[in-house]
Amino acid sequence: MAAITLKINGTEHQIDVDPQMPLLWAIRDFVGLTGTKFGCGMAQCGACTIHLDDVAIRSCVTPVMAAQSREITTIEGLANGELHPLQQAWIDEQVPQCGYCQSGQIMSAAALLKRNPAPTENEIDTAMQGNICRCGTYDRIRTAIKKASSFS
Amino acid sequence: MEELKKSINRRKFLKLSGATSAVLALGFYIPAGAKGTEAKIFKLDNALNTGTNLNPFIQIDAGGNVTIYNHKPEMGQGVWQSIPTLIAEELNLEFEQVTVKMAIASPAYGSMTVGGSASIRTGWIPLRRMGAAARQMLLQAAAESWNVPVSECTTDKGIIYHKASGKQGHFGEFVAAASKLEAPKEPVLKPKSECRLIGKKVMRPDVVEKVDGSAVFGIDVKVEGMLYATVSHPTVLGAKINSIDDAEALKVPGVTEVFEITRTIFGNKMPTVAIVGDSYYGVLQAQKRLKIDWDLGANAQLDTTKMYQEMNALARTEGAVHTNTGDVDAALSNASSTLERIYETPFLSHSPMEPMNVTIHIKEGECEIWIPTQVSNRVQQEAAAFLNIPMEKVTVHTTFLGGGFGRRLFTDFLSEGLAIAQKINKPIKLIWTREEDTTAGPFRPGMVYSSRAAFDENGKVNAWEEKVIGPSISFNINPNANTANVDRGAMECISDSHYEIANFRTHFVHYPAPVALGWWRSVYASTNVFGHECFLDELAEKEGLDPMDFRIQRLSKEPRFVKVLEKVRQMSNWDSPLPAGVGRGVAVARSFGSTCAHVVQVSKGEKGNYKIDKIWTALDCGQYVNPDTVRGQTEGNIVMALTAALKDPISFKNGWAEQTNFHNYRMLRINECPPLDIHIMENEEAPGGVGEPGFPPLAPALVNALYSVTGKRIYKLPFKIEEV
Repeated sequence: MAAITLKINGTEHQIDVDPQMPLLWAIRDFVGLTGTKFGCGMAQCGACTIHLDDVAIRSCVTPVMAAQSREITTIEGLANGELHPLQQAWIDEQVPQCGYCQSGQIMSAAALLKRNPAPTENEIDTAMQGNICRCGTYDRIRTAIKKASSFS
Repeated sequence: MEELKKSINRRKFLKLSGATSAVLALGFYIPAGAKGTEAKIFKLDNALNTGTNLNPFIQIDAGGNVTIYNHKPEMGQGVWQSIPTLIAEELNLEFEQVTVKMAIASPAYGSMTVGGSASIRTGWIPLRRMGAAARQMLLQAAAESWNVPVSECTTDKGIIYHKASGKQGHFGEFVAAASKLEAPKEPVLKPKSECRLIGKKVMRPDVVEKVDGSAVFGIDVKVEGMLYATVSHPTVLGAKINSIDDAEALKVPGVTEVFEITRTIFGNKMPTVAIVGDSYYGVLQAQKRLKIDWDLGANAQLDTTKMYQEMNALARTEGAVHTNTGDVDAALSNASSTLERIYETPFLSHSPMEPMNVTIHIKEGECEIWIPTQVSNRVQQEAAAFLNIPMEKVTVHTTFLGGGFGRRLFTDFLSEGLAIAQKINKPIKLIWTREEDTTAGPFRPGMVYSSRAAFDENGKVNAWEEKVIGPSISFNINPNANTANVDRGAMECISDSHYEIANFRTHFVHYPAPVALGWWRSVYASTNVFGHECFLDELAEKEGLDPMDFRIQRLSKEPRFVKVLEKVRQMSNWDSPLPAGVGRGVAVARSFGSTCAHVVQVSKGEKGNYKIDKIWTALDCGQYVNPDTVRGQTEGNIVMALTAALKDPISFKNGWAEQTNFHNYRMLRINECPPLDIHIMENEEAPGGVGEPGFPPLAPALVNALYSVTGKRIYKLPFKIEEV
């Protein structure tokens, strides 16, 4: 066990956990932010995607100690007063079905738009390949990202 | 289905609340059992006076606020919007005026089960009638208070008007009076032309929560003082545990207990090891350190290769005849030629994105449960039975479901959670790992399908024999089933084939599989239609006909089939010639009350690999609630069908499933999803299902498309498109 400070969505949280614990469980079970989801535990599905200093990472395989003194953004911190353009586009296109993978989808897409504000369809496909949607909302995800990119 | 019809017929309107609370609350009361109907209703009235929660569908308070209790679990299929819409429409409200809440499980709601693409089909009339009853009661109350004829009163967006006198008032003003009126026995539904919500794209309210991370799924529930648990399972039925070595596991800080429990999955009981601790991470660490000595018994050598060999051998046996028209044997023996083919489809895991989980708090004589389930009623019944307490002492909160696809029709994880919570005597949250989800079943049954056809002296098909060979889900979950019978469920889309062929016979040949089996999106239609529609393509070819023309000819008495085929013909420009290296295929099926046709177009890419260019779809689901939801469900069916056709099977070797997580049980990803063009047919027919009918015809349309350009038939799913 170790005292760890996590800065999540601009707020510092002190937790006492095994430093090897994946960030996913620290965020969900110790900090209490449950928008980030558990899907596979081996970086295969992307449901646990968050940002570490603006880069999309899979929190289910990232040890909590690797996130110390870095900026963590989760789905709960993506909106800044108003919805992120991707969240708005997700609503406009009515993307989610069950919705379980969508936090991770949106976080992957947000990291993409941050580094590439006007991605091509191929660039969208490449950036979003790590996120599985079992409900099959891929066609709408593509449309929503294109839509958000045009007004960001 | 018959059960369902009966229960709907037995439903009675009941006015659930009186003037004291100034709330108009309407619900159905469904008497349990056939007798004592009146007494049951009387009891409910008593309950009303004692303030018991009566589980209304609609509640309108004195402020005019309308709450609609959605009784159908939301798993991505859109019931969170479509079910309340049926009521809100009849109240003439805008959807935004309604607060939607998930109903706490109760028999008063009737069936809360979501499965078989049935929610709108079964709710279409009864829920609208309830909304209409509330409207009529409010109008009646307003008319009486204004002393005007009710026929002159109208309502719009929660306001009641009497145009001639200029009087108006909101719902809340008339709630007290309305709640004293008798509910009308035959409430009048709005004509379709006046519907403002049904048939229109309405934004789903749950979408907002699902994009900001606030939607609560089962896995997100937290109860004060709860411990975490996970479980380890065998793959095969009949397994036993010789010993558990938990010495290393218990060294993980916070991990307190390891013990054996029983997983009940309908009629099957499977030994399971539970691990409990104060963090889920700790429990996962402990699970990896556990040494379980499994005795897989008679199924220790279970091997899918051998299973398919045995099923193929069974294709040469009679099995049990299901339907039999004309004289297939005579046609076959007098045939100018015959055609015989065998097709295989794999065992599959449902793999919803949210792993199985349940949170349980057993208190003195009562129990509270938070669960993403497709069967809220059954959860309540089974928990009450397990704990030996009355059903009303079990409070079941149905959370959002992170996918269902049939997996959450099973309550095995509930049985485990109850066993753990009872032993630990503290609230617990049980979460399965992805590995357990992938390897422990229930699986879609892997099937073999064989087909034989006879051609007459003119080269026309005049006889068709179809055999479905494989495991029966019904027999699997019910150890007392008579396995000599036909499992009618397994004959979906086969025995009710609509193709006009004079001599027609179907068989079911049972082959038991010693693993837990389950209903998986579109169930046997998902496996049967592959062989059925691929074989049809070969019949067309042997007759020298275009596969579209052949289908339309043989379905000429089925206008709804013909219309969806004509539609995809036009959408895909089917009759235009294609460049070299490009092919198209078609397939059609009616399942769950709806008819769906797909055309798939494939082409040879730069690297010589085939890829899917586009998919055109026409779906006839009769009248529908939300076209955008219908479209979304069809997109989902296509993607799931592509995964089932092109990705990994679940295979068994030495008594274990070989696939364990998404690295070797792969899903279609965004870069593999082709553009989709979906058309919904407009008509006045009764609503059909939406959650499944898009699935069955996809794989055969794809395989038929590949044949049209490669000249090679594919008889086994899954296959790798890059190797075609």
